[in-house]
Amino acid sequence: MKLLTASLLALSLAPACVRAQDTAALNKLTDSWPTYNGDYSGRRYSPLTKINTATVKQLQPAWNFRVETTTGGGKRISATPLEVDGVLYFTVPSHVWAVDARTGRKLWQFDWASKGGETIGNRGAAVLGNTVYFETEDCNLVAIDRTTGKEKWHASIGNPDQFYFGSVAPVIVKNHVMVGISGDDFDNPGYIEAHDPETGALQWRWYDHPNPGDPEAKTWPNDEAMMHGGGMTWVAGTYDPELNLYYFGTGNAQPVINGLARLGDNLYTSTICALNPDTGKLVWYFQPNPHDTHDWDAVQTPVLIDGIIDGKHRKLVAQASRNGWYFLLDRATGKNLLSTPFAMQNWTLGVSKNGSPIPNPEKMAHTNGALVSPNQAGAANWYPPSYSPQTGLFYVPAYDAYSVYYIYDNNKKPEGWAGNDRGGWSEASLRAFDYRTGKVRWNHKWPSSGGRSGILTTAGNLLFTGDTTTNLVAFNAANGTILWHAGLGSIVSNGPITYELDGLQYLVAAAGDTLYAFVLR
Amino acid sequence: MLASQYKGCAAAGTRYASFCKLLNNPSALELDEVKWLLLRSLQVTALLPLISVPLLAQFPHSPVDPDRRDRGAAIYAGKCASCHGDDARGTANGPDLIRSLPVLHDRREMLYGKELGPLLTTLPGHSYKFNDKQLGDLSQFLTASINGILRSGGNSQPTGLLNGDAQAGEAYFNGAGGCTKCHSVTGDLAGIGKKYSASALQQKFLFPNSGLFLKKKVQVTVKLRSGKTYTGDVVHIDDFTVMLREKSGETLSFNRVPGITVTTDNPYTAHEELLRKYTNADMHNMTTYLDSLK
Repeated sequence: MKLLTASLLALSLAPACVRAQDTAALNKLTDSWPTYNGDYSGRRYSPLTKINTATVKQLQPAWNFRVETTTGGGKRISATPLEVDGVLYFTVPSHVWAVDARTGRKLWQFDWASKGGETIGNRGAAVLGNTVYFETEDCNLVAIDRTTGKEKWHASIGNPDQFYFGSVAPVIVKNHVMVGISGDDFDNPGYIEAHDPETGALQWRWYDHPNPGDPEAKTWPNDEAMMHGGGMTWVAGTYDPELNLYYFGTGNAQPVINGLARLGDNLYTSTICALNPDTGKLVWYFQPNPHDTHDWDAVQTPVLIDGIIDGKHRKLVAQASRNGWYFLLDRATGKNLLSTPFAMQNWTLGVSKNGSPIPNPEKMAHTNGALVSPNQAGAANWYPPSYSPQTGLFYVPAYDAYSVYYIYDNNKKPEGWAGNDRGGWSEASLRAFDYRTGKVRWNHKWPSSGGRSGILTTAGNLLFTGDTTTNLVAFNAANGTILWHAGLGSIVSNGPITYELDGLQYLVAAAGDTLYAFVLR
Repeated sequence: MLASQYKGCAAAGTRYASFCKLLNNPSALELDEVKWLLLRSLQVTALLPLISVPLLAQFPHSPVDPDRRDRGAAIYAGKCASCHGDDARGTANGPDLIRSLPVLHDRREMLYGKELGPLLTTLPGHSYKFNDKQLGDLSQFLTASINGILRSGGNSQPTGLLNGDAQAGEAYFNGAGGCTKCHSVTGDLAGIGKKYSASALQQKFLFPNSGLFLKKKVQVTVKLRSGKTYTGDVVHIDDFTVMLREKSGETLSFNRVPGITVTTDNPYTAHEELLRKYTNADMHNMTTYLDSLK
């Protein structure tokens, strides 16, 4: 009870705390985990060291919190919880919880009356001042009072009639709530938009296709195809405050599998975009996956790395993309510095002069099948990767896989999916490679294929992730030795986080419908 | 019985304790443990190959009554198709109705044409007075047309699978594929073309370790510190636990503690290596050849 009171007290003081907005706090993830990726960089690297290679074996269970409410079956916690002022905020489709980060005690629960939508998952919330923000599957951005758990306002972010839905964790950038949109069942354009954090008013919306007449519009056969060309913005972006650029990847082109009526590179689908968050204007782009016909997207977190290339300090952005390729770019200009496979892949004819892989038409779907690697689930997927500046390694849950892609709809105007992949073979690994070269430093092949989860690295030279079954596992981040594990009730379904409160370092991961907290006492 | 062999069993309080309970005292299993065990064994044996397929169906379909859809299709063919196309995807004379916002709204809200009716009398060139039943039928046809293009749409059959070259497939089977090392078309594969549809056959020779009713599973051998070994089908394996089923049907579980060695033997290795070698033509030729083995 005492702890609860303390938490409520902390909450009542919350309006005075603007940590989620404080860039300095974002750069020092110690007592908080204030955004989807912890900080703006997308590294998911914590400077905390109490839990380290020597002490990790002493980790003990602290508490569990089980979600008992569901909308449309979406009870799997794929959200990365935020931790602000000793309170965790996390979501499943249409529901948000505030839970004491020390005890797991529920402070409030917010239930949205959904009008229906895809409940495949909800990746989490954003916090600014006294407000918690999240997206609903029926296309609303909802603002909730952090103290009371009551709705402040909601704003439309899309038309659910067109199969758009909300699942992305919003990101606060200055006075913008950055919102991505989901839904690749139907041939709609993707977009990203910014809302006013106080009122919810739409500040701008940027559609991720060129305007008719732009040079990039020539990457489509016609404007009709371009305006229905897909490119959902499934994953929360990253942000460089100095450059004032917001980075995110866009999803697959539409129709998804049969691309014969949209020949060309199909910009800006499956593209890494750098946007000015104040104006919603595109500053540069790089396309990891031209003319996507495999549902591979390029939405994997663009991770910001301050590194050294050829002896020079460089501001970099790196992506281990679902199509099996790793890309390293200059994040001020978008100039490609490295394109190299990090997983098994057979779909390219090489790399273009600007660094984009060139798709092999032989490996696009055929009515009688094309044998393709990776499979649709991808070499990577939405599961958060991690970069540790301590080891200089980029970590990704990597799949080496094959499947057969078929065109099912040979209409001269295919729509929607128009095909799919089938069956397959896959091997699952946790892969660590040098961010500068893409060379694998260590690889842990899981004994069986199965689920995937996100990754956390720490200054304690640790890496935490889920295995393909139901274990939360700690590795030595430098050499890939397993140091600790805990059997949970399900596959780890999000990216683990860590924070320190009252001198105690906690580790929190979700597995299915339950949050599991561990602590070093 | 066999109690000593359960020493390696997972510690109480973990999910794997459920395995031990299943072995020692099945009646003590909680319902959710039973479900979990079922799920676990299913995941390992049958569902693994499906992981590469999207785990969840996409947007819920607005349900369609086939009779109403067919009546709606007849109305559509008579009144709408000439401008909007046989497949509702539009022509030069009329827009795509699958991408029409009023039609999409009608579908999602299951309005059965209530809001489409007025449009059909007021839009330029439209003066179609349908009664409620006709509107509902038309709505069901359009809803079915939209549902059909979704990821989970009904149209999901590969076609033209037998347009490969059977002779080339036979040559590959006997030559580059190395298939005769384990298989014979007069032995284990006799009549294989009768047993499976072409699409199942194609998947089967590419990915024999996927899907239901595997002939042979990955084998695992656990060697204890004492030197005693246990061999059987893998039921579950991760970095910390291994569960196997012996030929006798006995199921055993071990913690992978220091001193225990675990080795696996995958009977499908040769098939997996072929994945890196097949061209699409090899795959199509092999499908055509194997299908001819009636």
